[in-house]
Amino acid sequence: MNSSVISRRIVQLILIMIGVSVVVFLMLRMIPGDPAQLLLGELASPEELAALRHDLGLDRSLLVQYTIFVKNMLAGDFGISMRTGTPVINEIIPRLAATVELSVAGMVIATVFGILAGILSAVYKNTVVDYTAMLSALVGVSMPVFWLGLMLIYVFAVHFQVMPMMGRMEMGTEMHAITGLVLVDALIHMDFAVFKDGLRHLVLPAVTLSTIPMAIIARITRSAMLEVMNQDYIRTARAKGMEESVVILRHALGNAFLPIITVLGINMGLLLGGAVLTETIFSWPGLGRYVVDSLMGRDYNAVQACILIFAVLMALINLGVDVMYAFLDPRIRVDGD
Amino acid sequence: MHTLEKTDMTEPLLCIENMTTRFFAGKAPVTAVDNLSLELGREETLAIVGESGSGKSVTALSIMGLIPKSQGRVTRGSIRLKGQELIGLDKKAMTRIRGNRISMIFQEPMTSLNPVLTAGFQLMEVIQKHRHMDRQKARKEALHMLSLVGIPEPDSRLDAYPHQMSGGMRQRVMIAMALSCHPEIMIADEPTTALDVTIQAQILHLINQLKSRIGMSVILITHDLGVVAQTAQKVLVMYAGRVVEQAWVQDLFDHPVHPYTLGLFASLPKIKAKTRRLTPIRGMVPSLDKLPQGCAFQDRCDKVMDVCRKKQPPFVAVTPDHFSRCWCHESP
Repeated sequence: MNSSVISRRIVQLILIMIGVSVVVFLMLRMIPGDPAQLLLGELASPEELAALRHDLGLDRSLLVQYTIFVKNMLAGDFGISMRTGTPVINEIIPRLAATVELSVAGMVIATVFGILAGILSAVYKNTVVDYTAMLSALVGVSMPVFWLGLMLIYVFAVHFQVMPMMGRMEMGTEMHAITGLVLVDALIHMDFAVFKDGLRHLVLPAVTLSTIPMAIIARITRSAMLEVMNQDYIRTARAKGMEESVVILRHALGNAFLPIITVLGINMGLLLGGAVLTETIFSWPGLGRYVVDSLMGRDYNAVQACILIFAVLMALINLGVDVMYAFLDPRIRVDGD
Repeated sequence: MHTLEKTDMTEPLLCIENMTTRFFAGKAPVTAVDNLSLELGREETLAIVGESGSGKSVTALSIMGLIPKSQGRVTRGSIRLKGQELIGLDKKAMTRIRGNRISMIFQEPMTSLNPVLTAGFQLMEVIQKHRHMDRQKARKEALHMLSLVGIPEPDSRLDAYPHQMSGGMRQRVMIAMALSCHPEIMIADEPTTALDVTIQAQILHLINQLKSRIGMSVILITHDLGVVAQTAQKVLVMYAGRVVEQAWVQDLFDHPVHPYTLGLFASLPKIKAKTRRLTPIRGMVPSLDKLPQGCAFQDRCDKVMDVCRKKQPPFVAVTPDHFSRCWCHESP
């Protein structure tokens, strides 16, 4: 693995983060109104206001303020939530874990079944298998998420009552959070009852979240596979006497993965930021809902923290895609610079 | 030079009888190879000569069982390898023959290797599959094969990716792959067309050399008569999906009889020629779905007669081992 590609990406990532922090910082300073006045109320005396401004550092230059802002961010101090009065970081971390758990689960389902459907419809091109898979993909992208979520709840939670309706765990389940990911924590504690419960709660929202990316992945896999299957090296693999399964999985899929990985990265980012609807329908205590609630409540500290976190996640996903690319395609790895 | 006595009287290594390959992908079915018969003896090199679209490559793919099912298939005839019928053989049995007993190299070395797998992996894969070796033994064998085909520093080339190699080098890897299981037959489909002239000679020399070393037979597909003269013992000349002339190479070069073959020779540049212009065969190869009634070559032939436009000429023996498909051999 060529480390220069990755180190260059990491430098880029740092630059992006600096840019994002400047934008977020200035955005907050541009909001009209005096934070000191807002905190102390209209009856505060000029001396009290001046004292609070001094305490908050608002009387210092923008550059100094920015330095302090960055220093606090790096220490994980995103300030106090204006709605709840608790440190924002304490509210965000469990919600971030919930969103990550949901998105990763959704993405795993989407990737496994999307790629499988794509391969099948490429291999059985223009047959019933192909038409069925691609029709399902069309339905998948077209179906409104809230409708699908509600239907799943109605069928599995209300009618057959085989699945829980909402939340991450049964009410009253106590578990010491280590990672904040229910399934991972349950495994660490070797608590298989909680693991099973967490899994049951995860299935419906994860399935709901997975349909759109699954459909996109299926389509891109199909077209990538069809293109690759026409290549000369596939004919070579067959001429070598390789079994058709080896030809498809090793020789074709290895090459088709390149466009697929790009789509996976984009969709992972979309899932993390776009799970609001699913989180709302399933009362999933995730970050998406938290952002919306914070925006509604003008909780600027919470909003800026969320923006920064999403920016970091996006940058990390892109880094991950680049690393995967270099890992999968030797031409990028070696001719990287 | 090999002579006629070389073939033995028992069943030849490869025997194709009346093979017809048709494609069904277009509006009307197209016959890409029509009623082809050939025999390939042990350690013999058979050249198949013809223009693009004459059915050479389809013949090769038909033998390999590599005609894509969705597009076409061998509809008639028989292909026997040491008496074993290959047509209708089940998939699994066919994968045991491909790459093992009959292997193939292709025209485009630049694209014939998988870009995301190392040369060594692609080589070891075929060795592991057919010779049932473990990884380490296969790696040793792969190394041996790479040095056999004349790749310098085979040790480091084993872990190189195709894009790190030149075209000639990649074709050598392809040859190493094709020979790694000591096949009885290697089919080389225009193996030197995409290479520089100097490399062409090297590759042909290599194929010839390894052929006698391994003791295999070669089917060489080419449109280059110079290549044929250097390497082959037997020649089939194909035109529009049919064999039009078949002979021992010496015989064909000394006495070509079919008007198409004569045209091919006439179109070669000659060192002693008085004029500087080449003599082309006029006209174009007819499209396979619009073949005329009678002889497919009629519109380009200088000796065309009335009968050529009405009936297919028969494939007749001009001399005992020299066949040609032309009405001009039927003395009136």
